[in-house]
Amino acid sequence: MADSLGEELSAALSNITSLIIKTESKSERMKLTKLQAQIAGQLQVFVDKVVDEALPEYEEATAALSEANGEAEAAKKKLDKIAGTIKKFADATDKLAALAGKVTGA
Amino acid sequence: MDTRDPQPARWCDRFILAALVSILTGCALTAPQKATVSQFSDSAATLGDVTSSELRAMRDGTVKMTIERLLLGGQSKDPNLGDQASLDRGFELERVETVSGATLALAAYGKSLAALVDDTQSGELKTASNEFVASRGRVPTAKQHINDQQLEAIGTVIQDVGGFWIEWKRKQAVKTIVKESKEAVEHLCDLLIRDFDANKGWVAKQLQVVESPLMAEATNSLYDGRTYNERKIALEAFLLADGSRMRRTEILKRVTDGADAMKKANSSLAQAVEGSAWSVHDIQDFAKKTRSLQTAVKIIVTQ
Repeated sequence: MADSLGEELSAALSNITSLIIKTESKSERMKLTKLQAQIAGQLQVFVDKVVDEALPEYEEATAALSEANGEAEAAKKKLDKIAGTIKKFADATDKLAALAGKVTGA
Repeated sequence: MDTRDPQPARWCDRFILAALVSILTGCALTAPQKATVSQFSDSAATLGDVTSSELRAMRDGTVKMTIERLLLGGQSKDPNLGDQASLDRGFELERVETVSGATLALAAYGKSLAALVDDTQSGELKTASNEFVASRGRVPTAKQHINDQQLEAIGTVIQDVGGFWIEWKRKQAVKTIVKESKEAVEHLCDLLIRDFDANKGWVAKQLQVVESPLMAEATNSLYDGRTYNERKIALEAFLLADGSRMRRTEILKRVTDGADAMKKANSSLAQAVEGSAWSVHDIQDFAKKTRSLQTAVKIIVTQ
């Protein structure tokens, strides 16, 4: 029912706007403009109600996806860490080799 | 001292290595799977970013249209419509931030997946194996027992095993993220399909609430306009309202098409990374829909 109210108001707004554009009589246009504002105002109230209900749904779904995105970033860091660990291992071996060279030399 | 015959031992090592390689290769993302994830990621990032920037454009348009309506017709004719104290009525900061936050989360999902399949580790692994080989070569006792070919082979093994390990971890991560995000992605897509629907959604109705009264005032001004300047002002107001109408009819439809395609593509992506039978059709269709959205936005903004 709520959906159909919104659609009825939206259709009425479209029709009355078309009428305003076509009406040459100034007094008729003024009446139609006032009526159009009332319908637009009612549609605004309807939209406000719908949006008030929709926003928490967005917040909830966004929070769930953001959590998964955080996990993806952490997983990416872990991948980089594996490569980094192997590199550190190579660096450490290099230092050990240098140390071994000094010991052999001594 | 090792008394084993070196020849069979070498064959045994090679066999184990070959077996490891073949097992780990099967555990990594294949090239088509990576391409699928990349294509999906790019489309998701585009859909999220473009929708978010369009929401900001709708807010800016609302402020401009309300100002223009107040300039042409004076105080609002209904107390529920925007006036000088509420120029952004309908696209208030909180609303735009919340919905835009959701579309940006979809974009971030795409970007996270892209970063995950993007191979930034290979270069580092190659440097690591080169350094490892170089350091071994500098150990005098090691040099006596290992020749250059063997050193090179060790380097290759480090690079390959490290690489396979990373690829295996990469696949596990992509699988987990896609699986865990599936429900949230689908829910967000459903919300966008519902709310951005050009006929039934609240976004279209909200644009209409701002656009129609401006259209009426512009019409009245054009009928009453006696000078070039008066008519010019009225026509500029029409242009503003027309830009909003274009967003309402063209952009919203493409956003819902994109969200619908993303929902289907996300299911295909989940199948693709699971390795079960999957089709690239949904992912290609998603890419097509987001390109259409991007093109429409460029045309409307240029106008």
